[in-house]
Amino acid sequence: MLKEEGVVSDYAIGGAMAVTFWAEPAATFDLDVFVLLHSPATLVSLEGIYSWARQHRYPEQAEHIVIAGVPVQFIPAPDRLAEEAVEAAADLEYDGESIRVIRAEYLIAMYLQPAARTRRRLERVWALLEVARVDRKLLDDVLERHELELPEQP
Amino acid sequence: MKTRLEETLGRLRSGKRELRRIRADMSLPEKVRQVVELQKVAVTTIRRRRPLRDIERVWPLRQR
Repeated sequence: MLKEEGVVSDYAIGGAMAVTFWAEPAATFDLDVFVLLHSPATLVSLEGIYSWARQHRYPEQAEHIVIAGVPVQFIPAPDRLAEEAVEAAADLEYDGESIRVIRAEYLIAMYLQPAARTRRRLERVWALLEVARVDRKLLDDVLERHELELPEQP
Repeated sequence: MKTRLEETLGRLRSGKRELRRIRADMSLPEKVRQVVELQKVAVTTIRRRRPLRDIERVWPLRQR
């Protein structure tokens, strides 16, 4: 809806729900949605999204917008890797709707960024590598271009 | 030669791997239902320790 109404230029589900789509269900209470905004990178503002939410009477709750009872956090893609992840997202079908979901290879790369690397996220990396039918060629390419490395599996 | 403990741990690990594969192959609606089940467990556990935060609630799934 956000994309069709021109509020964002593109979006993709990330975080635990994206991991759930590619691997096994992960516990989470919110839905992370990475967005590409029309505004120049120097002027990152979510005002367009909040204004869209108010028009549709979706309540705001701290950094979340509650859509159909689900707290959604809209995150402007913070760097080139996240932008690329949104652009390359997969189109999946859920409940009769088309949804865009960040591919497993990009989720792994995003979790391996130094600022994002936590123990829980590394566990998600291993889970994705184990069961998500990861395209190793694509993963290696993404990791190399963004100067990231897979740590040794415990 | 493996000890009984190593054999047991090996069986547990491969069983866990198999379970992960089965869960990964579930349909998207089934996975979302599982996330909601995890939320129910988490909410019950968290509530025993502290008040729930605003976002810590079970998603209202549409009936299909």
